[in-house]
Amino acid sequence: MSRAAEISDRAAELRRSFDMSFTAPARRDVPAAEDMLVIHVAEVPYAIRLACVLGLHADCAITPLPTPVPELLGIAALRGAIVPVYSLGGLLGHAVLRTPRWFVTTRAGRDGLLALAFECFVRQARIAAEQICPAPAPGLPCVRAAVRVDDRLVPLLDIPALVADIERRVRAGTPQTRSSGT
Amino acid sequence: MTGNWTVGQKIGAGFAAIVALAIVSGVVASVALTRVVDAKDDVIRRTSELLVNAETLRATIDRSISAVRGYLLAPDERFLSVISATGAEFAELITRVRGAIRSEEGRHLVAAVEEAQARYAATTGQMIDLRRSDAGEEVIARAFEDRLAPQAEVLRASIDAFKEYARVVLEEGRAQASTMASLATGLVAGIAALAVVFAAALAVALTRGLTAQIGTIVSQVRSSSAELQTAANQQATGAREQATAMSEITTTITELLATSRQIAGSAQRVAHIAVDVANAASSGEGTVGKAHESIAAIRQQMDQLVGYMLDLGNKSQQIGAVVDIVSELAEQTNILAINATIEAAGAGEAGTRFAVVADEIRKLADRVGGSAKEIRGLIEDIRSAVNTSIMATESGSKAVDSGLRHFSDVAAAFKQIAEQVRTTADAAREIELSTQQQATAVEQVNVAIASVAQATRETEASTAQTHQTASELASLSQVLMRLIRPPAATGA
Repeated sequence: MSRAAEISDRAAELRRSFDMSFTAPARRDVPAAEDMLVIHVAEVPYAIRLACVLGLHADCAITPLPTPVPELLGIAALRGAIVPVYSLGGLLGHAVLRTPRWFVTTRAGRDGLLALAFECFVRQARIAAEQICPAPAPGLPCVRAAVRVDDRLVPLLDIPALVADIERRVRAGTPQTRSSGT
Repeated sequence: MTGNWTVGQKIGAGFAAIVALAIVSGVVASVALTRVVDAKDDVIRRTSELLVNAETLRATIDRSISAVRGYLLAPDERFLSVISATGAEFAELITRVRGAIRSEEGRHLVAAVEEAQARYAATTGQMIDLRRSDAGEEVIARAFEDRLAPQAEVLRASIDAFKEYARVVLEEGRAQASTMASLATGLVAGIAALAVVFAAALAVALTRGLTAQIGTIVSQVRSSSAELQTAANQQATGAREQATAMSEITTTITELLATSRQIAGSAQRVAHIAVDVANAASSGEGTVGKAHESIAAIRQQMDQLVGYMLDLGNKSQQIGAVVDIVSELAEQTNILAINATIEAAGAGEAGTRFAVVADEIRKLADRVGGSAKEIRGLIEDIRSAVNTSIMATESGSKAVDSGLRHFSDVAAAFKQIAEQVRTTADAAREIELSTQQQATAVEQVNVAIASVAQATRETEASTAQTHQTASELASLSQVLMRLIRPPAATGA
């Protein structure tokens, strides 16, 4: 099959699928599954529960601030709010990238927000419950489980644990070393 | 100095000396004879003049006496005129005689004659006066006999004495002339003897000198004839060797002639081939020119192709920019869909249907993003292919340029080859012509060599003749040596 014919078939499939999405009734018996974001941090894939984030953003300007916390990249304006931006790579023990492109916002404390910055957003994936398993080896405290995405086992980040770790560091005012387990 | 003189010079010098001596003796003899003759003539002239004048004086006196006698016998005036004329003639003669006299004795004798003549004249006057005085005949005869006749005898006696003197003078002059002639004869005889002695000495000297010189020359001639014999032998040997060499040269020249003819034939074939090659080169030159034009057209088409490729690259870049926009829109749509899904989840049950739509939108955005990525990849492939094509085209264009230049070089080389082939054809024709001329020249050389061989044979023959002549010359020199030097002197 030629390349042109393949592309033409794919276009027809897309058209059919799109049309079917409007013709088929909404399914109520959806099996248990969770939407997750697949990202890359320092070339390492991670998964984030979509339910743990408040928004996904790209290409936001970061204003650096003097801070004793090296993972704090600065502040950014996201949806009318000023939020601190932390380097997800730095928090996970990778190198701190000063100009990340992607951000996810999450809730901090009762009414606060913070943003986690990373290098690459791959896609959103709907992961069935049976695809979620405990982490194969003891590692970071914010990684307690793993998900299978595209036949690969990807660490699942525990965002609330990360936020709690950040709040703890901020309160302590001193950077937390990776060997301390936070 | 005379050692360097030739035989002819020496003989000539001796002959000249003898002739000079003869001339000197002749001149001396001539001068002596002339002087003797002059002396004799002078003596004869003077003495004869004196004798004639003396005789004339005697005759004059006789005529005067006759005239006186006549007048005394018949007093006629004609006798008086005769008397007067004879007196004048006597005076004139006396004057001449006085001029011819050169001795004191002669002058005294002349003075005596003059004195006697004066007394005679005075007496003659008295007698004439006596006759005119009408004296008697007897008186007159007696006066004549007594006075005039003695005077006349005295005058005759003085004239005779003068005549005797003239004869004496004549004898003296003859004797002096004879003495002078004897002296001249002796002088001429002495000079002749001297000339004979000188000629004899000269002959001896010439004989000795010429004998020595000719002897030396004859010796040299003998030596030279011997050398000439040797040289003739050597020349004969050389002539025989030369004849042999000429024979070999003739053979070689004949082979060279055959080779030259072969070369001429080959050069003619080369000339024909060169003409064919020149025609082929001209045809090839035209073909190369057409190929050059074709390559130039290909070069233009390549330039157009490069332009199309660049245009295609630009269009692909524009498509890439549009695809980037589409990809950006898909990404933003995806972000919106994800955020919508989050918001729908926050809305609870009410957001379920919206979550479905948001999910479909997200899927669609995912697919659009994937397709955009795929298009981007395809565009990158196209751009890469276009760049590769452009590079290949540029390489091809450069190759075409290089080929064009090479073709220009090839065309120039073809033109040069055609020119050189024409030059080669001309050179081949010249070689052909030159070789034909060379063959002709070789034939001429062959003829000349034959002539030289003939001349060599003749030289060999003439060398034998030379050898014989040298032998004869040696014999002749030996004979000549015997002629100028006796065998006892030569030691032979």
